[in-house]
Amino acid sequence: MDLTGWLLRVAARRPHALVVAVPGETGLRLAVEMELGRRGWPVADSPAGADLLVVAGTPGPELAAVAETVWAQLPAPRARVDVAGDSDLSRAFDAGERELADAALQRHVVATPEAALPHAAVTDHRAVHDIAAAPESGGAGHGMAMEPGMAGGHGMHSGHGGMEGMEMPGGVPMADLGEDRDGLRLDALHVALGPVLPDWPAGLVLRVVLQGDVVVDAEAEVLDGGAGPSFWAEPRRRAGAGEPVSVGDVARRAAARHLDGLARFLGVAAWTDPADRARRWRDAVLAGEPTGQVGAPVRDLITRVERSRTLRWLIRGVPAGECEVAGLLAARLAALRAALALLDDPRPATDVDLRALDDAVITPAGLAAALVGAELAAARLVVAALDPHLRTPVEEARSHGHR
Amino acid sequence: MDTGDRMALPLWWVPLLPVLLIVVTAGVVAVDEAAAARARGAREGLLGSAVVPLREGARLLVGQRRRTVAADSVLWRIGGATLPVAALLAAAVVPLGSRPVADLTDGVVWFNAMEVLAWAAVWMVGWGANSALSLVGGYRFVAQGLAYELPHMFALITAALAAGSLRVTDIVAAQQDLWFVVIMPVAFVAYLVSAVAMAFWGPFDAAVGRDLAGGAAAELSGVDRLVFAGGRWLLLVVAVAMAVPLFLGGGAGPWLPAWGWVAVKAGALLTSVLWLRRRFPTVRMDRFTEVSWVVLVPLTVAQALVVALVVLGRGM
Repeated sequence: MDLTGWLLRVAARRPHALVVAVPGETGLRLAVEMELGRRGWPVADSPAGADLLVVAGTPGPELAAVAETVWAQLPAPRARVDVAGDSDLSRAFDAGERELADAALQRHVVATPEAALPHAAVTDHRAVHDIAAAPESGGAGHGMAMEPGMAGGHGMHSGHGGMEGMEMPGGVPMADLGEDRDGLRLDALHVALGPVLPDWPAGLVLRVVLQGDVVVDAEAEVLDGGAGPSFWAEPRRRAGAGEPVSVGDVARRAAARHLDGLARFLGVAAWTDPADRARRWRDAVLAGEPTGQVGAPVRDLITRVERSRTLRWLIRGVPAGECEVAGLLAARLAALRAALALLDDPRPATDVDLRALDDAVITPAGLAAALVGAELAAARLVVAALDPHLRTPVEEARSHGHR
Repeated sequence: MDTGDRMALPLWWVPLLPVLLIVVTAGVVAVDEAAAARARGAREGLLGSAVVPLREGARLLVGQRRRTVAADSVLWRIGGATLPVAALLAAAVVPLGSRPVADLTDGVVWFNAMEVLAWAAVWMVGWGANSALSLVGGYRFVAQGLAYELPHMFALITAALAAGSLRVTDIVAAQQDLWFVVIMPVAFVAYLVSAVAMAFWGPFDAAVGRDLAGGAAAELSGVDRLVFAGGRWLLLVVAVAMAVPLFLGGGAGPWLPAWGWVAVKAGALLTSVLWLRRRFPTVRMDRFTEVSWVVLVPLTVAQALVVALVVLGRGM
């Protein structure tokens, strides 16, 4: 009896999927999440916990390299699914499931780890979260597990030459020492967060310096120059181009956007039940379900989040740049309410001031500045509360010109 | 006091206990999965949820084990394996009906000692992987341990104080007239809260939080993940089930046999623990520590004091 083959087939019915979201391909990410939900396949938190890698969109060179590194870190049995705008998701996922159940194929993956796992990644655990730097360290390409966050700027770590003569377990440089906020000397660890983290903005990489779990310095970067035009602003753009778009169309997309933001925020706060609900109603709103069906449950959800004393207590006094996390959440809920009220409005979008439905806008630099001094848990909440659509500077300038 | 196994179950229960515990735990996982499926709006059905623990087990059994750079492999693997072992050893003193597998004279101390191993275990797993997010998960659990362990010990000791014995069966016997939950409700609640925190179950699951991509468990795969996650579930089940002999009169109750009452009471407690996790977001470490030291510790000390006075009054 082929026990392994049988176990593989049993396991392949419910793989855990890790989604690599491509900036600007939000629609595809949502479709992937919907398909995963329909199949009851859980979303993995990290490469170690995943069997299926889903790349949602066509990544640019930097993100493609990250996806390659993450793929190398997935333990066998594993399968990779690359979907693009015109893919048949259901068929792609079926293929992934078949690949996972294919004992002969999976044995090959296990037997030839060197072939399957390119460059440093075979042993580079840090790359799990520091993958952002894979494009940089990949160039060195001699199996050395560079800590990517250290790749630039810090004298002792700026090149391989600098590492000579130091004791480096496994080739990983030791942590720096730095003054902490109490004036003590404490290890300063350079870590890159993203771009593959649960409920994390697509393509965002935060290079942070951690002392304990306090962020003492942060730099933000968006891979491949950032996202294209936002999926959420699409009806607005069409209206701007002179197409007939109703207020309802704009409001529907805005409601879905805020539900998505809410779901991601609650996901990071690990309040899974309402997060799942927000995701479910987001999909319903996007699918065009009538207002009568979605209005009441979404309002219930808003009330539930607003009334939660625990959530209020948890996010109270967490600064996020110029405002607080609690303020950002309140603003999102208010915008969601406003959007709900306009779902059936037939007026042309160009006649009405719809700025109340908009998101807060923040630049990568502003985001990084908002995180300094926060502990990691708070920093994650700040990023999730902002849930920024990170754009290229060019596009940023253009959109400001329009206003 | 005699030191022997006065009321222990026969020896053949020793191999049976892990099997029983794993089956019960798989059932609890399935119930949790069914609740999660309902929140997602999925129509999985009870049968679909019931096979989830089996599928997960199969998935992790055939999964490849990962290595990480400069990992402290020894501590990493020992940490993971400690969780299920500690849970099993702790379960030995929990009466499965009227009798436990091992009726130690200092059962409460034994139980607590086994539980405390979880503290070390999660820290070792977080440390061992040599990964930043794992390490932060480990830190968080050390902080959490400092917060939950004192209220937990005070709650345990209050029950032992009222019974005048550290033997779990004596504590059950002392509740013949009145369950301890009535005279020490604060200790009961503090016990449950701290038991959940010890099993780093939500809302006290910051150590393996989603914001840390799995925290202490972020780098575990294959059988290592199975042992860690399974151990955590076992620990949750055992720690919550222990509240039955400590505060809810053990197997006492009409009509049903003792084991039936233990199952009903433990099942009710576990259900509420699963439900509570869905009700609340994860409690951040800084906030929990504050509540624990400012609220829980004084309350449990006061509770112990009140019970001590009651015991003294009864003695006079």
